[in-house]
Amino acid sequence: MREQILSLLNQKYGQAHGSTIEEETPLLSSGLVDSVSALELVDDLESTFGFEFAPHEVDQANLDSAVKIEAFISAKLNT
Amino acid sequence: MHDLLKEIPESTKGQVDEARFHNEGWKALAEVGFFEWFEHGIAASDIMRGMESLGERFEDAGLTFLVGAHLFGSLQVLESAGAALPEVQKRVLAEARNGAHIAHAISEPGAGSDVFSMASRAKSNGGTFHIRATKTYVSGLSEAEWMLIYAMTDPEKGALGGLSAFILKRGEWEETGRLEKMGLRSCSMGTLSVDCEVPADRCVGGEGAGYRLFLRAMDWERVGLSAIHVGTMRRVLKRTVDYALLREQSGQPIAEHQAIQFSLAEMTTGLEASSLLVAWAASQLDQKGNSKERTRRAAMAKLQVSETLVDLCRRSVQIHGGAGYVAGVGPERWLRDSLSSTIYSGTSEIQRKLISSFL
Repeated sequence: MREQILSLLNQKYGQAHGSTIEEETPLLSSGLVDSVSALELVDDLESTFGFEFAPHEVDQANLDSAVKIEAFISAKLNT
Repeated sequence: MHDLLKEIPESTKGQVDEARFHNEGWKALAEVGFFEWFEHGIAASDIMRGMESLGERFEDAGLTFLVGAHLFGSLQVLESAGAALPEVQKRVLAEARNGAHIAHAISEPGAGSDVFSMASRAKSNGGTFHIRATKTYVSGLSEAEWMLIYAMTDPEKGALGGLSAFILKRGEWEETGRLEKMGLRSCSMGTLSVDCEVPADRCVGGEGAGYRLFLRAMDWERVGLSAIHVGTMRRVLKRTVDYALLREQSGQPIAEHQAIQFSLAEMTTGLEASSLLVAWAASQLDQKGNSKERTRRAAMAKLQVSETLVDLCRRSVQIHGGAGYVAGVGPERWLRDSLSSTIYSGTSEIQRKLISSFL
């Protein structure tokens, strides 16, 4: 799953970042992904992994790096 | 469903150009089920056709603006949470569908509508939230029975996860001032302050859900108000053409003059382009995913339609000449009412900034 997430992130935001997005690269807190793009990221994650974010789950704590995204999705899919 | 408007007596569709709420019009709309679009699962494109019809048939722009703000800025937020709503919010939703007005409060004296600079706070105390807020430019404040208010619950997280929306009932906010306006005069606007404790089940969509709810509401509101403007433009254009055919100058109707014909041609072209843009934006509103494209289209519709509305109303004043400038005929009021459209729900400058960010 982590590879899929990293691939998606690098495809969308890697070029703007100027280097490869790594597992712990901060996304929202660094400004790499702005607040409008964050919702596009949510759309992409929902369609790729087949689940839906509840409105309150669209949270920096769940989206700020590939590792955090993976942890959130894993927990979500296992509930 | 837009044919419901045919059931409303013509006498309730007239103008109100004073600081008095057009309650008869609002009640008539509620009685024919005009606030139940979402409940019946009607497609966004059909809802927007209904809004266009509203703008065309109702003269009172203050009333039609408030209908748009109520439906898309407030009611839609609750509707989007659907079956997951706590009981208290389901009751509010049921009341709102029957015509109880829910206003929404976002703008602040120091931050405008910039949610990232919002100073209002809501602190979780276990089963309750303590809300401290100061809001301004709240439309429909005097008529509101409920209020959808946004406040930061976790400022460190910022808007994503740190912004929440709450439902307050009348009495839980204090109306601190009324703002008089140049147009939309039948729709009140004012300032409020809040310092109260509410149960946790007043938080809409869960703590931290505010940003997603707010952005989606803005998309709907921008397209919804634009659809109403398209209807308004149809009415203004028809009245202007009628006048140009009747008013004679130098022994012939002014409609025979090429200068007038050219201006009417610009008006009708702008109107039809606006109508297409609204339909294009509406087609994204109820699609799953693709939020960026939804926001992009809504911003483009809002920008173009509001600027076209102002231009069309200014042209109507010019074609009417002296009659257009004096109060009581129509064009003078249409122009005053139109000017706010490039300001509310995000100014034209905000829309341009948003649109350019997608390039």
